[in-house]
Amino acid sequence: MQDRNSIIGDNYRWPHVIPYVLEDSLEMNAKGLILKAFEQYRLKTCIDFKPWEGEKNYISVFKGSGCWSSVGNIQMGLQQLSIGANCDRIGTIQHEFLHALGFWHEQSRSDRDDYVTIVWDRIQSGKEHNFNKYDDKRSDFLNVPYDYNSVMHYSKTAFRNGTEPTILTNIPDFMDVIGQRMDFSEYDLEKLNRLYNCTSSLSFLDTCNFELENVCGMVQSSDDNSDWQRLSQVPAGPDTDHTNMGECKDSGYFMHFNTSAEREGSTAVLESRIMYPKRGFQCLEFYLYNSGNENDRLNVWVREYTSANPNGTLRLIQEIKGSPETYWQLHHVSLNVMSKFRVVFEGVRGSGSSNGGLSIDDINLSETQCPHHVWHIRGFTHLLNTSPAGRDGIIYSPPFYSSKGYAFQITLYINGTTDNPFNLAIYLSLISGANDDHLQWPCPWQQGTMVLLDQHPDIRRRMSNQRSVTTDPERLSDFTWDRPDIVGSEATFPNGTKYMRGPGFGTSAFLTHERLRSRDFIKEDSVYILLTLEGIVTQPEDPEVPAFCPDNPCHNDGVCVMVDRAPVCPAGDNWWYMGEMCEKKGSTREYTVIAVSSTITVFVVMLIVTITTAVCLKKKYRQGKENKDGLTLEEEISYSLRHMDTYFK
Amino acid sequence: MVRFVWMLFGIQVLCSCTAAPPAQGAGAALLSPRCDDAAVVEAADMALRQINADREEGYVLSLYRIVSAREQPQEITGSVFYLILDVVDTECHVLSKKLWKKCNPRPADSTVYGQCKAIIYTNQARNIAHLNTYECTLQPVPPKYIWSICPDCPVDDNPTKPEYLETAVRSLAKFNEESNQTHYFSVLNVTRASMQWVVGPAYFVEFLIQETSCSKNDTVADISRCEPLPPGVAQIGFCKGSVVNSHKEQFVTISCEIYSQQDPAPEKENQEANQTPGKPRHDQQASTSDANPFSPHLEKTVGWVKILPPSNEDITFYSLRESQNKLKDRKPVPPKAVGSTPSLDRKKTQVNKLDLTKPITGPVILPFPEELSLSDSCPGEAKQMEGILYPLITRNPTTV
Repeated sequence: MQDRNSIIGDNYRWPHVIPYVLEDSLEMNAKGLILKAFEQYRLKTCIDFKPWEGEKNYISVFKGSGCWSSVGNIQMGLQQLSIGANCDRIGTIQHEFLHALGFWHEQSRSDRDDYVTIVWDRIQSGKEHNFNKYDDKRSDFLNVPYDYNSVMHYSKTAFRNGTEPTILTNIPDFMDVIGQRMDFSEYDLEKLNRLYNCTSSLSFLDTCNFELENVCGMVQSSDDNSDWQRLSQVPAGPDTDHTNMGECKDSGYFMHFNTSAEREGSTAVLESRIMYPKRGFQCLEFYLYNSGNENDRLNVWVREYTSANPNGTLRLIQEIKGSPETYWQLHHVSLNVMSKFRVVFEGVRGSGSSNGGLSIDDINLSETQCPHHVWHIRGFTHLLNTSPAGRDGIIYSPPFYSSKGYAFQITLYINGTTDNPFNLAIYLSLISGANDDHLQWPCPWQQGTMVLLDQHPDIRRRMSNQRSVTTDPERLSDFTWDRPDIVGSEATFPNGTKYMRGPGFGTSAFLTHERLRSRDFIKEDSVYILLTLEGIVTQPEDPEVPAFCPDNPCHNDGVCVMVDRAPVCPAGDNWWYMGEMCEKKGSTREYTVIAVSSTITVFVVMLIVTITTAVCLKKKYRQGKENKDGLTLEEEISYSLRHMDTYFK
Repeated sequence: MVRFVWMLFGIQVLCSCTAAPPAQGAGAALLSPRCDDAAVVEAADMALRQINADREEGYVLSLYRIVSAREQPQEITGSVFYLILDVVDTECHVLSKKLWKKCNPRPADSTVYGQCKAIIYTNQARNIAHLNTYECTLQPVPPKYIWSICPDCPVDDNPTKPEYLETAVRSLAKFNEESNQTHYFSVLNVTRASMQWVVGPAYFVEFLIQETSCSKNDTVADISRCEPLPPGVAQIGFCKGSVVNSHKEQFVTISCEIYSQQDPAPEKENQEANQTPGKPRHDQQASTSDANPFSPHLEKTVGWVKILPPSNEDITFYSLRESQNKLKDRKPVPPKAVGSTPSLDRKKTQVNKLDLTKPITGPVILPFPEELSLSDSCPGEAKQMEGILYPLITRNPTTV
C-alpha cells in the first residue's frame, strides 16, 4: 500500500462518470430514489453516473440484505452495492455511494476519539467491528474538521443493545445531530470535491442572493423604463430580505422594482449573465414579495442565443401575478433551453394603485426538474407549539393532481403520531378526483416525493429532508392504491366539498422536531413541502445506449444486440442463429435450401424405392391381372407418402 | 421436422465417433489433462451436480475454478478423473434440486467457499458419469476480510440464535397470511442469518419451512404448535425473510418458494439402480435401451461436505490484492492442494481399497493422488473474475 492515501489510495478512485446497473431485484421505490440520489451528486459534486455500457468496472445496485457498499473502486469489474428493504431513503443511498466513492464512516476517522466516545459495553455483542477506527494510512480526512453533521456518521442509537446511546459526542449539543440521513453536509461535499478535484458540477448553473454589489453579474436592461434596485428594506414591505431575514446587520439585500413610482405599463428588466446549458431542462426558483398591486406582474423570459439568432431571441416562459401579501413566496419556473441563454426578469406595472412594488431574492438556477407542486404552510412555529400528538395535530394539504391525472393529498402530523411524538409524520393519500374513471387502478408505479425544503439561499448547501413512496398496484393486502372512492373514507375540504381519501402511505418518523428547528426548514415562520407524483423512469430513453454489445460474445461473427442490458445473440434479419452464443449459424436461405433439398432427396429416394418395388412386383405378377398392378403402385406411393408424413412430424 | 433429421444425423455421428474405445491399460501413470479440456470441464460439471444431488443440507455449490485434474484411463473404457475444484455456494438450497449453473452466486459477504476433491468415472460412449467419492471442505469468508472493504456488510451470523428464529417466525407469519396454500407452514430450520443496523436493528434470515396439519381455514393461535404433516406428504419450502425495526415501526418482508413435492426424482429406472442397492443419485446414467451388455460395476457415491467455523484471520482485501498484483509478473505457482484432510474417511470410502482387487467389471480407482496436475493450464480460469472474493478464493497457497 501507499504510504499516504487519500481515503484509500488513488488507484481505488472511480472515473468522474461512474457506470452503473440497476438490477431487477431492486424495489421500484428504491430505483426511483437511486436516480434522485444521482441527481444530488450531479448538482453538488462533479460526480456523474451513467448506465453501464461495457466498461470494465461498474457498480451493480441490487437488493441485498440491508444497505452496504465496498469502499472505493475495488477494480474488480462488477462491484455490488446493496439497497435492501427499508434502505429506500435518499440520504441512505447517498451514504452508500459515498462508501463506493472511497469514504469510510465519519466515526471511523483516525482522530475520532477527540470528538466522540464509543461506549463499547452498550454495543450488541459481535457488532463491535462497526465502530472500528482506521489509522491515517487507510483513511485520510483530507484536512477537513470532524463532522458531526456528516451523512457518513452513525446515529447515537446505532447497534445499541439497550436504550442507552453507543456514541457520545464530546460536545453534547451534537448528540442529536449525528446520524442525519437528509443530504450531504458541507464537509461531506468538501471532502468529496477534494478527493475528486471537483471544480464544477453537471447541473448547477447559478445562485444569487444579491448580497454582493455585483448582483452576480446580472444586468439592467436598457430597453425598459425603469431599473431594479438593490435594497435591504422597502416601507411597504418587505421589511427584510429573504436570505438573512434581517438577522445580520449591514447585509441582507434583494432586488426591488418600485411600481408605486411608475405609470401603468412601465417595465423594469433584469437579465442574468449568459448561461451554458448542458442538459436542456432547467429549474429556476426564487422568492417573490409583492407589496404593489395585484395587477403588477413579473414575467420570466429567456433570451436564447443560436447561430441563427446571435443577438438572442426572447421567449416568454411564465407570467406571475398575485395579490399583494406580507411575506416572501417561493416560485418555481421550469425552463427547457438547449442553447446558451439568459434568464430575464421583467417587472410590469399594472393598473390600480401601488404603495410598494415587486421584490425578488434568493434565485437558484439549475438543470434539474422542478417540483410539480408546492405546499406552503405559514405560521408554522405556532402550529408546532400548539399541535397535540396524534390525529388532533393533523393538517391536510390542498388537493393536487399528478401529471397522469391522479388526485392526491398530503397528511402532516405536526407533532407526530401518538406513539411517536416530537416528530413530523407525513403520509401521501390518493383522493377521489375528476379523472378517476379514465385512470388505471390500482394506481401503478407512481412515485410520490415529499420534500421538506431547507430554505438555505444556495441550492448546493441545502439539506432538505425527503421521503418517497411508490404506488405498488400489486399491494393487495390493504388496497392502498386502489380507487379512493372504493377503498377510501369520506373527508371534507375547508370549502365544504366532500371527497374520498384513500389510505395514507408514508412515515411516522419523517423528521424529528430537533432537526426541524435546525437549518432553514422554518424561515419567516413558513415551511415549504415540495411535491411530485410521477412515473419512475428507471431507463431514461437514452439514444446513447448502444444497440450493439460492447464486447461481442457471439461466436461465428454473430450480430449481438443489447436486450435489457444483456447481450443477446440471435439477431439480424436474414440470419438464423442457434445456441445461446450463436455457436451454430446459417442464413434462412441456406436453412431453407438444406431443408428443401433434404426433403426432396428423401422423397426422391423413397419414390425410387417405391417405383423399383412396384416394377419388381409388376414383373413378378406379370402373369396376373394387368389392371391390378396399377392399383398396387398407387397404394405403395400413398403408403410411402403417409410414412414420410409421420417421419417428419 | 428438419431438426429431427439433424438429430438423427447427430446421433449417428456420435455413435460412429465413440465406437473405438480408448485402449490404455488401467493403472497406467496418471495423465495431466488440461484444466480447460472439454472432458475435464464436463467431468467437473457432473461431479458437482452429483455432489449437490447427494447432499441434504446446505446450499448448492457452484464451480469457481478447476484447480487440478488427473485422468486415469480405464481398461473397461472410460476414464476416472481425480479433480480438485474451487467452489462457492449459491443462493439455492440443495433441497431445491436446482442445477448449480441455474443458481445465482451469493453476495460476497455471505459466501461460503472452499475446495472439493472428487473422483468421478466417466464414459462418454456409454453416457456414464458416476461420482465415486467427494470431500469438500468449506468455510465462510473471514468476517475481517469483508469488513476490511465493506464496513456496512452484514456478515453471516450463527443462525441458531433465538433472534433469528424469531425473525423467521415473524416473517413466515406474513407468508402464511398472504399465500394461497391450504395449510399453514412452520419453520423447519434457519439456514442463514445476518444482522445490520438499517434504521434500527434489522435481521435477515433464510430458512426451510414445512407444511403443517393446520388448515388455513382454521384460526390458529400458535402455528409452532401445529404438527407437521408426515414426511413425504408435507411440502417443504425455502424462504428469505427480513424484519427491520425502526423507532416505533417494524417492517417485514418475506418471499418463499415451495419445492415441488417429492420432486419427480431425477433418477430413472436403470441397470445401475439394480446393481447398487440404496438410492443412487446421478444426473446422468447408462440408458437401459443400450443393447451392449457392458455394465460396469459402480459403487454408491460416498462423500462429505465439511463447513469450518468462520476464521478470525486478519486479512484485508487491499493487502491480498496488492500482494497478488506484485506476483502477477512471476510464473504462476500451482496452489497447494487441500491439505488438511490427507486421509480419507475409511469407513465411508473403503471402496478405494477394494477396487484394486475387483474383477474389471468396474473402474479401477486409486487413492486420491497427492501430486497436482502437471498441466500449465491448471489451475483453470476462474468462473467469476469479478467481485471482492477473487483475491481470497484464488489466493496462494490455499489454506482451507
